[in-house]
Amino acid sequence: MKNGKIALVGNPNSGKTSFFNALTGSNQHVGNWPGVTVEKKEGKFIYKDKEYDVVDLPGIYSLGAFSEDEVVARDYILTGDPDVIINIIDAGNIERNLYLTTQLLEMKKRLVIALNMVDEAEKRKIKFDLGELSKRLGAPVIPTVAHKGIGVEEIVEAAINAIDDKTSIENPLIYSGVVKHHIEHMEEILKNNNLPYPIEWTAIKIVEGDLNILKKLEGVNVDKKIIEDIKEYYKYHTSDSFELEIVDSRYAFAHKVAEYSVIRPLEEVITLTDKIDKILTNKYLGVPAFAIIMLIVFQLTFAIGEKLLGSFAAGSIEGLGRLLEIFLIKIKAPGWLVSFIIDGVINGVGAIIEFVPLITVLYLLLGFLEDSGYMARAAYVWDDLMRRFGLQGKAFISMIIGFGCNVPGIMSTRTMDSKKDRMITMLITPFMSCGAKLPIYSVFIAAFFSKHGGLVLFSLYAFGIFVALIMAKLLNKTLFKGDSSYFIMELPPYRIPTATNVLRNMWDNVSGFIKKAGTIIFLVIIIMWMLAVLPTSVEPYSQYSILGTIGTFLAPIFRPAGFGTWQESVALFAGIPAKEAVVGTLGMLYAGQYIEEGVILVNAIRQHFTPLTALSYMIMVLLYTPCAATLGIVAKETRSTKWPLIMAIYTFAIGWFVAVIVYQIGSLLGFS
Amino acid sequence: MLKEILKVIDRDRFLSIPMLSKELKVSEALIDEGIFELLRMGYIIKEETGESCSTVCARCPFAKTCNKEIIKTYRITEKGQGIIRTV
Repeated sequence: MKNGKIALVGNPNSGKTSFFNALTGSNQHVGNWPGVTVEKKEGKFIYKDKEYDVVDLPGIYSLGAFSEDEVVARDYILTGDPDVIINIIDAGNIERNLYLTTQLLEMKKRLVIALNMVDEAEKRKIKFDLGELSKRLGAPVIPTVAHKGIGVEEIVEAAINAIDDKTSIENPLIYSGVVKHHIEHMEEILKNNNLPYPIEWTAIKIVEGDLNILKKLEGVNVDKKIIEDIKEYYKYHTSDSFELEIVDSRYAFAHKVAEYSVIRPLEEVITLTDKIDKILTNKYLGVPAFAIIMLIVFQLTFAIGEKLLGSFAAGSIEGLGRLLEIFLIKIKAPGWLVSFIIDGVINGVGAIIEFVPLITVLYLLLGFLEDSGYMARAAYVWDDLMRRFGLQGKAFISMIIGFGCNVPGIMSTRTMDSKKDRMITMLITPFMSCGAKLPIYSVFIAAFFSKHGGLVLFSLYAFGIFVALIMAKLLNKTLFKGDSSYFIMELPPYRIPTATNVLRNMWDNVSGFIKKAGTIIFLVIIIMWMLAVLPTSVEPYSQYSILGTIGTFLAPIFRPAGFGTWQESVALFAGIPAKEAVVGTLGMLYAGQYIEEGVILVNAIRQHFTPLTALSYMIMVLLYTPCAATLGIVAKETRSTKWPLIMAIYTFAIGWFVAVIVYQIGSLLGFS
Repeated sequence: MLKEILKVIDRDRFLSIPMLSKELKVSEALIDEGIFELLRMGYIIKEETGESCSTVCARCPFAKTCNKEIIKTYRITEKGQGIIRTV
């Protein structure tokens, strides 16, 4: 003989399944709810010689109609007619779980509350006033630890008593103000109509703007006049804010119930995140802290990547080059092939590959910062500064992304709803030193500033940000006037970075760098090599080659900046398809010339540059025309050729101008 | 609580669940749920910083580094601004 139906309702991870298993043992059946893929678990148990059906409803946070799980649970509670609902609440997370309870109370269903996992809550020194909790919810509350079977028998007894209880059920949550008035008005419309659902709940759902309830009423035999009245209500009287008021009232109720019935440890817990954030997000210390962190990143990059691993990689490439050369000579390969492989591939592409250790360490450290949750703080502390330059903090996010590669940095501006912010951010992002510029800086730093490598690298990155901010201010005052829109940034708690995330981030960047060296840069180097050895009637790599002729034509432009040889000029232009090609081209042209004397690129750079010209060259590289991919994405994002053209010209002009200023002032001050 | 969440994030211009939890004296889980409800009801919208590239991502050597969401950002909608004005 069946004596009642019991439904188990609770949030995901509230221990509902443990409860179901404890109640039904092996006497259960698993299937699907009709028409949906949501799992339906049913079972039976016998208590004092009477059999009871149990249905385990899907784990849900609320009884809206926003997911299949919610619809299944709601429909079953409304139409499956359970005699009692056991609402399983995670004792350690009571406020959140009570939100669902408030909705069950609105349905005026008979409830028994299982305050589950109380042992875990007690470990966290959380105590409960069960009497108060029960009084405020108008339902019995039993502490349980379902997976250990603790409290399960008491719950069964309470549920069976509730089945036999015939007293009326009151909803302790009472709405106020305009919402209350609307609910009462709707109850008036609905009453005396033999609705299949509780009147108060139906009225609340209509005022809440739940269109699903209208469909449900249309599907059952309800007076057409009611349906018309509800439709008219939706059309003329409802308001978006009613939904917010209702949801907010539920939260307020849940909070109040918890406030009066849960006793938590009194002392305020100051987390590690709080302590760290006091410094890192401080109005005055935030930006200097960011600068110090980045300086440490660059110092470590140089110390580990360049000094420790870089020399090993360079030695390996050189060794491979020598072996290949011996092999090619031994097999009597034609001269052009030897020249191509040794001068083009080894000295060109190899010169870039040498910087893999440096890139690896840099992205390892940046990945560490990203995964720790710090980057959000960096963007946050920059928000205020960015605003002073007429931008929003989100521009800094694009700039941070631009440190890796300018293309996604520019694409990330899509989230900006202000066209002004978007255009300015797009135009300044190329001043961020992307990963491709790193090999160029590294060669020059290794040649002239190796003692202060990290500091010089940091200064270049910082100078890029500085120029970007100045340009933002200028563009804001001239081309793009107007206010910046603002946004809300999520500051996640700090966490210890996971090795998987950090290593994946590093590998994605390093493998991208290697792939690029083997494809785009390889292609650029082949073209450069061909231009450097043609026509065959002139000496290869000389100023009379095609490349030499182009370079000789361009060189005077750069003379005021101190680096006016044809090789240095064409290398800059080779960097427009891909920045790494600057190093590749210099490697091919300089190291190629001296290869027989065993002079590697760094030594060749020392012979052709001075510390001052190296500095002005690095500044030119930092600021001048971005790579073709960046220009392409600007064309795509702005749907015009005008903006990439403007970007190409104005960045070149700024790069040239600043490089000239640096060189001329340096010369005047007596630097060489 | 939802109105207060809106008000605080509008004032601070950042969303920190632990900080909101402390300021509003409610559990982090409830704040988390509140943010979800505000999103669902359209008072705030989540913006994706990692935009997908509809061009030739597969050929790009850095395609894997592109769609990362380094920082989560939100925006208060007009509807949300309307509520803030009434608080």
